[in-house]
Amino acid sequence: MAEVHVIGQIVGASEFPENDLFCKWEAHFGPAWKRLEGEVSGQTQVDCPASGEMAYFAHPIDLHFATRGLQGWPKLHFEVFHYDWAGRSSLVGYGFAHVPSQPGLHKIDCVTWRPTGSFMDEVSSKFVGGGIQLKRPDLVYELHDRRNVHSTAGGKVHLELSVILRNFDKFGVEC
Amino acid sequence: NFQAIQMAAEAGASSFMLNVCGQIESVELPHYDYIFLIYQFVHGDDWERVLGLEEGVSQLSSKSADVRGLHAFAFPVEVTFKSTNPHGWPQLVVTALGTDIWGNQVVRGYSVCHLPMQPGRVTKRVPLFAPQSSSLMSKLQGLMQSEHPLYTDPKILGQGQGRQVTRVRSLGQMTLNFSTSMKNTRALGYQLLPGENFGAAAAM
Repeated sequence: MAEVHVIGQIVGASEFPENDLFCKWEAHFGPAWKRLEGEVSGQTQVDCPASGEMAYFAHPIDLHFATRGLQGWPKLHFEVFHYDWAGRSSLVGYGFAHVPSQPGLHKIDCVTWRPTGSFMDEVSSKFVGGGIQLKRPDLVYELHDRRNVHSTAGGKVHLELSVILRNFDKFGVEC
Repeated sequence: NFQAIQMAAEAGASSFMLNVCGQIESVELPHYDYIFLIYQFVHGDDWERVLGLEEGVSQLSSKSADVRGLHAFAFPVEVTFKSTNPHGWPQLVVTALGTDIWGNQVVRGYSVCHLPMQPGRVTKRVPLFAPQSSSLMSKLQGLMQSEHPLYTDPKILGQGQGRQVTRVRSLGQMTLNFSTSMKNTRALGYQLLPGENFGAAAAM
């Protein structure tokens, strides 16, 4: 069996309108893949940076997969939330990134977007806080039709991931 | 080259080794003076530290008087691990400690990063962050009684669970460098770098 190790960190998030952020993440993969070790989801610490525009999560990811095929290559999906002074959270970005297929160290900047509401939604969100969320978050990472979704750009989630492959060469696969 | 790998595999090499030599070069913590560092390793159950300290304690540093305000440590980190599985790859957890106005030791920040997973030399810049009180009341109380929030076991930073309720404040950067070498990773079939397609030669 071919094996894949994905080991690294969700380093942080930047370029969001607010800096007090945390991130929820989840890994998704096809039926040919089996998770042998490691957690497939988690939630990071909340960082309120003293200075600068990057919120740092330093959240470890350590996944070990076995696979029988290339289809359904694992991907990580992210939801970034703003944590306000009163302790409420509102969604500020959805994003996803495929686990790189090439072995080695990868620094990945994952772009995010948030759903845009109607004019009234946006105005009330500015005054009252909170934002709208997707009813079905799998829209973010699955190949669904998105034509009815209107989105606005969010900031970026920064990842540092190392990929280790095992036995791919025995199956004649080049990565 | 391929014969050497094949021989090692046939000899029944079941574990590989990771050797890391490097140093914690410096810390930028503009808010604080008189800092020292403690480092520890966090790793999975398949890993065993073969050489190197379990815990390292640095010298006490004063900020440089110039505009950099830098804490330079040049604090060596040398360790060798043996493992049967890349899962649980070791992480370096560093605690930066200082002294508050009452003279008590206080945590100024934590950092966590994985040891490199590729052979070679690398320089890393890693953020430092400090846990915050969960409410304004506990923060004021803490200031009065000189009790600052800290992790009871810094090794929790190496885990993915249990950190979702923590609020932190990132307030500095640590610069480190590592030189890394491995043994037997190829013999066990692991591909750590792009372009290593040694198995294709076997098929021919």
